[in-house]
Amino acid sequence: MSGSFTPKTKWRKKQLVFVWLMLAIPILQFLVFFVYVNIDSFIIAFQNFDYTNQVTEWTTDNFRFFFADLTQKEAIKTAMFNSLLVGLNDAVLVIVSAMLAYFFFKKVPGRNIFRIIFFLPSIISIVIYTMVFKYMFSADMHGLIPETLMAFGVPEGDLPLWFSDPWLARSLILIYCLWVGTGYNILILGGSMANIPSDVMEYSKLEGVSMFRELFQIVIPMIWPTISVAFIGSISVSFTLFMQVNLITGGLPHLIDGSGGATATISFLVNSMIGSNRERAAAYGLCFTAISIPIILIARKIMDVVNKKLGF
Amino acid sequence: MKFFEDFRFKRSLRDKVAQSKNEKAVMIVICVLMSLYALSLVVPFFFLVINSFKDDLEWLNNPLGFSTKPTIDTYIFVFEELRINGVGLGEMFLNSVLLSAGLTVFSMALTTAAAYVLAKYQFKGNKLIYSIVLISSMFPTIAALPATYRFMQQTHLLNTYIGMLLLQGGAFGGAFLYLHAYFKQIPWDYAESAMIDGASDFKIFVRIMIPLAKNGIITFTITRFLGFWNDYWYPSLFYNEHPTLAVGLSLINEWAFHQLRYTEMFAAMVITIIPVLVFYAIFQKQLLSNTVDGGIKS
Repeated sequence: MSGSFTPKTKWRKKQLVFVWLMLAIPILQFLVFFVYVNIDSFIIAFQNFDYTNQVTEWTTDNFRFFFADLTQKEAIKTAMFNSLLVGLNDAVLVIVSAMLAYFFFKKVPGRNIFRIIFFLPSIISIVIYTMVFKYMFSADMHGLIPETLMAFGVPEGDLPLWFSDPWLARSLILIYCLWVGTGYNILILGGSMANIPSDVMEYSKLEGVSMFRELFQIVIPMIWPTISVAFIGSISVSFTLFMQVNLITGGLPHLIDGSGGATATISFLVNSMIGSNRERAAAYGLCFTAISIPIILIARKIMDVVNKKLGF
Repeated sequence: MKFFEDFRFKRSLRDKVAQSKNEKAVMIVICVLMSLYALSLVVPFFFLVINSFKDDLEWLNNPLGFSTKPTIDTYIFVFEELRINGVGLGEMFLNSVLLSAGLTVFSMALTTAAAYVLAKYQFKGNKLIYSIVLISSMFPTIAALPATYRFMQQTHLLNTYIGMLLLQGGAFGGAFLYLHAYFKQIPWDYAESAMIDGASDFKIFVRIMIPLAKNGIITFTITRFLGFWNDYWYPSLFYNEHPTLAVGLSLINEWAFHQLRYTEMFAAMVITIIPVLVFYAIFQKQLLSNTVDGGIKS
């Protein structure tokens, strides 16, 4: 602990008071809104609120419903499938962005303008970005895409039903994530490429290494730690992404068996249940968290092994 | 032999020229691709702006072109008449300012304080707190929202300003980790001499340490402010009686959908984007440095 300070006995008491005064609110906040709330989630998941008698009773029904729904209804399976899609989409996004970031790093013409524009989706609220995205695709709102298709002679009745066809609606969410995410990831990964020691890049230039080899054999291995963090992020994304669903499709269209939405993700499913059945939402959330923890631990382990092989 | 070496040299030179020509071509292709992509990120806003100057009838007949008889009635309507659940754009703007400013100041104060004492003071529990913070940030929280909602309800913190501060004013996160690392590498000598002069711990923190970490603190303050400004989910769940601009806009979206008054919605969107763009223009350096330019320069 370089530069840290061990108080001498004379000051000890005063200093301890100072330390705990500085930490009191942050720790209290953490205890309430992280520790307590997470413990309470466990408790809620084993409860059921009886609205007619206004009493809370203990039960394991919420978990039983989860497993019954898992086998009998489409909603959970669809949500898990969509979450997987979203996660894979994010992984693809990382790979594509890493390659594009290389050209960004090699000073592609127009770099300074791209830099400002690529960051726009991080500046402007997701509410506005999803609104303009929907607007571009919506035939009702005479968006650019349907209008262009019609200009090319597609009859109005044959326009793709972006919002009511399950697969098209799903693809809308994936397209949105790629659309706003690519630029941001190019900037992040390009930024980490800028930290590669300059003698490495000079050596590669003197040797006349081709772009292709430079990208895959020098640059990507050099920034692998950043990329591996991004891949682990993809898993997190698949378990937590819901705002995009919420704002673009609202989970719609409905599934054929009426048990939920065709574009719902895991997190969307849980969050949309909060209003109607808080206890079941908590139980579902716990089940999914239980699934996510081993997956993330395994992914981290794999990335650690790969990192070691690459010499980090 | 001489001839052979000469030949090899010439050939490798020719290869190199060809290679650099290829690479130039690749660069141009990528430049075109990136230009198209960049265009796609701004084009929707272009249509937003041109359509916000039309009345709904003209927009129906001419959805993509410039207006032939531009009007600012849409803007006047948005400013003077548009009310969602009795709340106008001005009040939403005020809600956004108050909430984001309060949250930014409160959470940055806590973050800086916590990062500082955990980095600079050795005491029992220091390492434990730090590891708990690190581990807790590793896993996604899918399950905590129902319990959070119940807690806010039971404590009557729902839809209160103080409730939002407590809920979102957490100290531990990316900024905490950065500032913790930053304070750690500041030599303690500065403080020592001040201490000999009789300065209190708090004075050292405020007068010496905060100014040293100024760049990082300013950058995170700006980034956080924008994050709180744009946040939709928390205010929509826990503060919806006082809609912020982000929450209000999604309500305006619903309203426009039911009333079929899209050009007014476009005008409202343009109005709310302008302050954000101004903010971006002013603080572009800090906003980009935090994520893109390889870290904060101190």
